Amino acid sequence: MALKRIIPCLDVRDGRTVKGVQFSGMRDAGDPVELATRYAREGADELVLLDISAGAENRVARCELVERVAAALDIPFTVGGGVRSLEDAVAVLESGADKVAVNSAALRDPSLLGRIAARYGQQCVVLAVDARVDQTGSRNVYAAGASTPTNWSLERWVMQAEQEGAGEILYTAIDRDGTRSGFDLEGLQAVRLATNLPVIASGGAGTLQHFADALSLGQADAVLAASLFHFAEVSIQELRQFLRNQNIRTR
Amino acid sequence: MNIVIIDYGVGNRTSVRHAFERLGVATGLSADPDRIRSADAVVLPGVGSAGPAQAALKAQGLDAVITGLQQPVLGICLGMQLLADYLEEDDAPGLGILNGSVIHLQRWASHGSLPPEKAATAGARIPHMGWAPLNAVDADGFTDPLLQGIVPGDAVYFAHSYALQDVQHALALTRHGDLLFPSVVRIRNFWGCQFHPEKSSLVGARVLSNFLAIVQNKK
Repeated sequence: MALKRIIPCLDVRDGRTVKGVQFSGMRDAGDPVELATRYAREGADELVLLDISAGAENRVARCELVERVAAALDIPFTVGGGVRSLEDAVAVLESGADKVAVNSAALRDPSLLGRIAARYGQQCVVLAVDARVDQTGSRNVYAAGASTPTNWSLERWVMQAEQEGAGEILYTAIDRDGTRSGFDLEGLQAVRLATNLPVIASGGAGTLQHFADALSLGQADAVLAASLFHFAEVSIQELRQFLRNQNIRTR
Repeated sequence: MNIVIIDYGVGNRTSVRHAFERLGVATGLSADPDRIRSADAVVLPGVGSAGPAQAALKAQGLDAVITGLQQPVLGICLGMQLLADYLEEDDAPGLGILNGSVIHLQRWASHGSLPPEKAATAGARIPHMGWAPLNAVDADGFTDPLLQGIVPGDAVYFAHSYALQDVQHALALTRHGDLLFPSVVRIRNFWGCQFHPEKSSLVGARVLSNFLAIVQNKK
């Protein structure tokens, strides 16, 4: 049985790590390659690198960064942000990323997931999904950096994505992002019930207990956080020890 | 030391290359039969789908080259699976070096000899993604040179939906749900890892440096 994973996330813009609150108001958090290697040394199980500057013109710069991270890292890493086409995914994977995360582009054309999977295998394809609770209490999927609502409910979209060829779900609760108010446990359970894929919880980490809750109550397979790790408020070792004391098995 | 990574268009060849570089060893990337045959050791990497991978090997005549190799060979993930008789994914024939079939984790029940109640993944997620322990096959722990210094329980990184069913050549086993699949195999000069040593931090680096030591000792 796979052990539960701890995944630091680097949001990168113009070659620097940044972090905002609810998708805006960015703060500089340092050099991505430096942070990535620090996390690997400190025992991160995996790394996610989201390029939030990602315009089409940015593809070359992104690949250079991916190559530098790949050369330095001895743990798996996922790259996402602005992956719009099979060509973008190929560029990222050929630069040395182990997995590629697709979000808005899959909403525009769900077959993109299957086309990447056919070439690199399902385990290379991460569906990143951003959702928030609407007035009726159901979770609505948003596109384009959480700015544009779609017609998809969270549950229906992850089911569809699994059929299309996604191999893992990275679920971010938009309203929790950067707020440190805890992960969206109900949303995580809903994703868990809707698919058989591994689920990464994102958005809302604030305390050690929040991580434990996402892994036990939320039944997530992995927990992701950014600023909490960048600004050294929580160390990976400390988190691992805390989870161990709660009988949650990690590496 | 002349180590060749077989270049047949699969995903993780760069990562494997980087991993050897971190150990201070430069590798060559090649699909040239003569370069592969004359290497001190050969690595068959693999991230991708079985059908296209097998077709790419065959198209370049590398299937026959690989089966004829006498030097140490290390297959990684799909590269290990390709050493088997048969790959259920894409209904692809393997190289026939390892006995057994590579079957989707969810369909182990309908293949082979496992009773159905033992062959369910019991709610385990598929793909099998993440870190999981290597377990020894017998009470002596790990005795093969590839696993020198590795302790049963050490965790390594997996990312796969298919696994070899036959345990005959297993050096280590790993559990997913109720399934116990071979995570490291060996037959003669062929070793295989279902996990990714190039992505398994210090434990993975140890496996790769053990492989280099095997090559060094043979020289």
